[in-house]
Amino acid sequence: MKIKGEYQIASSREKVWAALIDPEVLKECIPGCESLEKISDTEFAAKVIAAIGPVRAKFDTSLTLENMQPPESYTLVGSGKGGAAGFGSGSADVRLYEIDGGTQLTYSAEFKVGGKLAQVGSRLVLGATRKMAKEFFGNFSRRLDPHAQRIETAEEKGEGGISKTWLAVAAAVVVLLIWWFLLS
Amino acid sequence: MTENGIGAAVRRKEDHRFITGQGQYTDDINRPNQLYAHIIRSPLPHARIRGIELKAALDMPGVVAVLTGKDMVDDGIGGLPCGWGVNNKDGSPMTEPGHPPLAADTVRYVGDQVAVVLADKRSIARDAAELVDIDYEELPAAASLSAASAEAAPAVWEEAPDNVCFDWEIGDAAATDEAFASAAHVSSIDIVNSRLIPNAIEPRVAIGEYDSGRDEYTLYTTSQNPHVIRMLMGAFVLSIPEHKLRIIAPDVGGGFGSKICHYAEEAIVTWASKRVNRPVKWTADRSESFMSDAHGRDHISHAELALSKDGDFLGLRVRTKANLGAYLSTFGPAVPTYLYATLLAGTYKTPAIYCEVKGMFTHSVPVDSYRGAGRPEACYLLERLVDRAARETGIDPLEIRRRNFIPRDGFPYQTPVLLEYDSGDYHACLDKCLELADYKGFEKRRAESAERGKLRGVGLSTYIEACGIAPSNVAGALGARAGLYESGTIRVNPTGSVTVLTGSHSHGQGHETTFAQLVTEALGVDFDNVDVVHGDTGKIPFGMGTYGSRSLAVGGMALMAALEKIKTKSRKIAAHLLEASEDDVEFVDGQLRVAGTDRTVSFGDVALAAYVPHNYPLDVLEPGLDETAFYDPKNWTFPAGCHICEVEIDPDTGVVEIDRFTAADDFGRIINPMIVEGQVHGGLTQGIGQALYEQCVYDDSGQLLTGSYMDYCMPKADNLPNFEVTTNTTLCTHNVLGVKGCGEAGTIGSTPAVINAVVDALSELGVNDVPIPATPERVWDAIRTAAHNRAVSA
Repeated sequence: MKIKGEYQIASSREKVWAALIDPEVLKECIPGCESLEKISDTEFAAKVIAAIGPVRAKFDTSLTLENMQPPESYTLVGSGKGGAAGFGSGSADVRLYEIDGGTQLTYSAEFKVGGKLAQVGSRLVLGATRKMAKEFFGNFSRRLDPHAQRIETAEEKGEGGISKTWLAVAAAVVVLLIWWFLLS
Repeated sequence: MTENGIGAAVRRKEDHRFITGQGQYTDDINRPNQLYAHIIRSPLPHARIRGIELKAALDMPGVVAVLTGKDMVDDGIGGLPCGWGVNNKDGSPMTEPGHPPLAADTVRYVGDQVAVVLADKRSIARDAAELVDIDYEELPAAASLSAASAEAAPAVWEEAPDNVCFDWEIGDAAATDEAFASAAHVSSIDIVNSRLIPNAIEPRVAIGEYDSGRDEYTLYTTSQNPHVIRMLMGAFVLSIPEHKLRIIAPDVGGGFGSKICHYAEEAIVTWASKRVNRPVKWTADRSESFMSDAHGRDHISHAELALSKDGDFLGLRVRTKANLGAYLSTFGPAVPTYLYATLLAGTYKTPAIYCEVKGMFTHSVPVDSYRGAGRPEACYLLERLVDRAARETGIDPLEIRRRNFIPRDGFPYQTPVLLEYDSGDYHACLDKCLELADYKGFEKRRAESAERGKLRGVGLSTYIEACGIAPSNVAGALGARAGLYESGTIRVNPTGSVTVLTGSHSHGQGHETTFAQLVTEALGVDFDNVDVVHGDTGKIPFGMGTYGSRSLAVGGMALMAALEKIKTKSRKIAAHLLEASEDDVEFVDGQLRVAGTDRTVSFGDVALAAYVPHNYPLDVLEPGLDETAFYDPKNWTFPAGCHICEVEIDPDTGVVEIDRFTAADDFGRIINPMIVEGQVHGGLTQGIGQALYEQCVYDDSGQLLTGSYMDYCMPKADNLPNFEVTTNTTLCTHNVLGVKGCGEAGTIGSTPAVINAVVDALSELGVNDVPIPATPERVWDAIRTAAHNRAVSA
């Protein structure tokens, strides 16, 4: 399962990079993060409470930063064990681009789940993980820049386009129905 | 026929206790001082166990022990045995790896047992299991047939590097090739027979209890065959002799084949009960059932049918890959071979048949019998292929079947694939089904549906089933590692009531009623004075259990043989009491009478005389009236029938609604028509479940995705029409009652009938196949793809 996202942050690339490898920042931004401990410059151990559908558990998570290209990119590799709830593991390629007025952050993550998470929650995992990723990068971007903007990906725009059209149609139908009710 | 004898629709004796909540299921049993077991299962499909850290769990108050695979190895515990060996084409035996009840070094599927926590409370055992830290080294996995047969696929077993357990064949390859060479037309089809999870309503439970004073073990378990479990677990796994091991399988809430197998948990609790010297109870939760009950089906096949220009079947060639899972389950190898390919003749006189089957290991739950076990797979393949041949040749699907049926006077019929059918009348079943289904009125109903914008289709299937695998010596020559007879005891009590002991096991089939009817019919004893006892190796002389629709045809016949012994002895006692010759005494309505006279003695008085032998021929006859018989059938029995399904499809949503379903079955003589009808209804529902709803799915990494009812769709009452069912009887020729068996038939014929109907409904759109389960998404997709293809070619 894959997820992607993009943010524009009004902050210099160096500042964004520094925050990306700061355990305090990571701890604040990871949704449900109870603790985050630095093992080495590139390794962290975290306890994260996550709920995916009917499965709610505390995950013992290890995070590793790989392919470090300061201040351009890294790969965040993580795996979490939730005991009877199962496990999840994944990696996210994070890239920073210099743009006018700040930095553009893109991420592309891939992950898999196992155990009970797969058995009873697999259909919900994609949505839940997308939400967690949005929350993390949203928290992160806003921490550096309260007005940071999330950019819709092409895929999302496609989906959004259709749903907006249907929304408009539905709204029109409702309005017509109300009129018809009022007139009859 | 007596009032409650053979042929009477007697209400089921057992239902009173079931309906009033007084059934005694294994989980209702609690032993003094018992511990609760929680099995720790692998969350990974394939991994090496680098280490297991137990300390934190052991420190938890209430935890008595945590046992691992290493403990089992140290105690010299054996592996779970496989009950049927299959040979490769070259005659060499299949690859048969070990099957440890607790994995010691490698786990091979999600759900594989790794350790067991024993604690005073179930909740403590569960919580402590969270504290057991298992260090896994994850390895690549292949859970599906396609993944396991890919080039460089990860091997489940070192000894089978290509994941092939056996490469087996049956039939005459050369004769079949010749048939194809002379064919005017060849139809072919690719079939995926989806993987199913049995889902008995009662999850598996096992309680092990060790009596150190007597050095004896008792295992309470949810099993279809307690004696088989005693044999397998006692002899192969735990080395406990029969006289020190008692297996009790009390009321069991559905089995469908999934409770035939000897499971790891049975051995674990029995072994653990001695280690800790306390009873140990394990109850599966539903999640565990999904990932540890043996799964069913899971074949990929390519099949070809050679036809003459007139539509006569000349030859059938089938190539199948069957998923066996990670370990060989008890009858795993038999299901996709001797219970599958031997049925490929179906109801047809196809002269040449050849089938090759590759049994494959995969990183998935072991696959074994599920209602029908092999026969639904054969029937689905054949009846889809016959329908396709009918469409391709332009011959009506009815006509092509009639033309190729084994004729009424063609019995006994030797098929090219081992079996010899003893009796049947396939034309009569078909005609009866057509009439009951109002087949003639279909076109009118189709037009009505069309007016409402719906697509209506009708689908037909005929099926053959083989029940009561037999005789034992033939099954043994084919690889069975056990006998396939049954035992039955008729114990006439001093006051004339009767206790029946049977080696068959009832887990929903209604044996307590059907077998009592046999006794009532034979001895004239009041129906309420007959009790049937089953499911306890401490009470029943011996038994091979219930599977393959064998209870009546094998277990019932053992009772008939014991009843015959009772009647013979009763006549001797009556002859003495009546001072007549034994040959002149006859049984009439519960009385023994000197033929042609009014001199009678009641059966009850005969029973009393046998136990209070004051006026009794002690010099020539033993006291007592208690007879046991073992019965080994001469042949399998061959139920057959015809199913007709009518569906209505909404082309906008792809939703398939079954509007009508009709079945005409030949089960031989019927003892209780109401019970038979119930069996057919249940079977049809499970077959329809496979056709439209159920499917077990693993993801590419080997994780089980359908691990709950949120993702595994069971058929529900509102998915079903009112079934129209009838029977057309031809008697089995080789048992005294002429019975055949009815437990699995509904599952066998229904799946292809439904899909043939779905394809028929969509055929005008250019659809010629829809995979099972035909979910709305798949049907809608088939409609869209066909429309796209037509647009492209236009």
